[in-house]
Amino acid sequence: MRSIKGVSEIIAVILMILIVTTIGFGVFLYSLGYFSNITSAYMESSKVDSDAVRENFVITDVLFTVSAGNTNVRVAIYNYGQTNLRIAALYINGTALGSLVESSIPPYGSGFVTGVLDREISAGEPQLVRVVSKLGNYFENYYFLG
Amino acid sequence: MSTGSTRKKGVSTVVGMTIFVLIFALVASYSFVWTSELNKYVENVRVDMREEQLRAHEVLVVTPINETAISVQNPTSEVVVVTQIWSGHDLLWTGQRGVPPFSSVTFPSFDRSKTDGSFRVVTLRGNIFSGSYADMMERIQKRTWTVSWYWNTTSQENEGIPPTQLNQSTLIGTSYFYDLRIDWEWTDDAAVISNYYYNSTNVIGFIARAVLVKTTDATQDATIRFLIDGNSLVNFQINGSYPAWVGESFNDKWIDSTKDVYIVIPGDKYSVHEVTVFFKTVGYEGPVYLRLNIANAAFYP
Repeated sequence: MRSIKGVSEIIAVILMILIVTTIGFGVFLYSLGYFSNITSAYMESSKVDSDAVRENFVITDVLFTVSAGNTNVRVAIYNYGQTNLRIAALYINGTALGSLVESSIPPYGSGFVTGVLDREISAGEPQLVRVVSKLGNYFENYYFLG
Repeated sequence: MSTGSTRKKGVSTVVGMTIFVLIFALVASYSFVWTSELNKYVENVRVDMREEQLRAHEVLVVTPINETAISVQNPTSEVVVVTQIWSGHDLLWTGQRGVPPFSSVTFPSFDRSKTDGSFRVVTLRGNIFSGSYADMMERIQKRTWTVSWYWNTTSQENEGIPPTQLNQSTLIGTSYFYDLRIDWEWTDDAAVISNYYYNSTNVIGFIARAVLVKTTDATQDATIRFLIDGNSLVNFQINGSYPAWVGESFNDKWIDSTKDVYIVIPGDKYSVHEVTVFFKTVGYEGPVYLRLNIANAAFYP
């Protein structure tokens, strides 16, 4: 009886060590993966936030050309930020323009964004033009036809 | 039993401690990464705020010299870098040119076909300043008397010709009187007297126009009183018609210095009136002058 009791104690200890080690290692690996994912997501989010902070642009000119029921819009943009500027959308009075032709504008460079509004705008009526970047920044102001 | 229990406790402590240390080390190392990223973000925000501060301090005064050239003045104590110049929807110039503090820089000779007299200057920091030649001329012409000078021979320009026909004489040029109260004089030895416009066989004169606003209510009229020299003649129009003179009626006749008369301009407070002054003189010895006093009115702003 004594020798059987001794063997089962050793086995129990070994089993306990194995179970604890396995669970502990599992927890460690899970934590490693979790923190790794969290960190990479955080770094990505932080980079986007940093780029968004460093992104600055201004509209330098807006040209409206009315033709056949449509209004072609050409917006000149100057990028005075520290990152490449990519335009995501162009709005006239809250309406997103179709056929948006965008380009990447380097820091301290300028470029044009063109789009088509599916109606004619009238002279003398102020148009609220909003340019939205891929990083979520926007610049808006009122412009006239002509 | 007690020996075995002690051994088990020791093993679990070591294993548990090892796992705890590993996870703690993991969290600690990642927290360094997070802190570093946060620091980068905060630094970027600080840089952006500093840039915005500098941007907010930028001021440029854009003054068109003519329809194809501008002067850009920097009244601040920081250098401002100009990077684009627009006129209408055309980009006239692009590059980088610094405007030193308290100085000005001229951008001459843009393509005339691309300019419309208004200019927008874009700075490196993203500010836009503008100036318009048309606005400038309009500003100059407002709050002034716009004076057109004419000359003719005495044989063609006799007293029978009404004042409004003075502009059928030869136009010498245009100038401005900047004071509402005209106090204009040619002395005996004024340079103009010696030139060929001003002599005994010629008539020289001007038509001065200004837009005035009445500063008193309808119970109190605006008035115009004048003094001229003995060789000169004068008349006025208010809103394109000859005015109601107090003392005598003249209509389209020239008035000489012997008449003691004045004009009244009735109207509500802030009513707007265009006043035209006709003045001519024949070249004789002695000073030539026109002194005009306008009460209860000001230049239309």
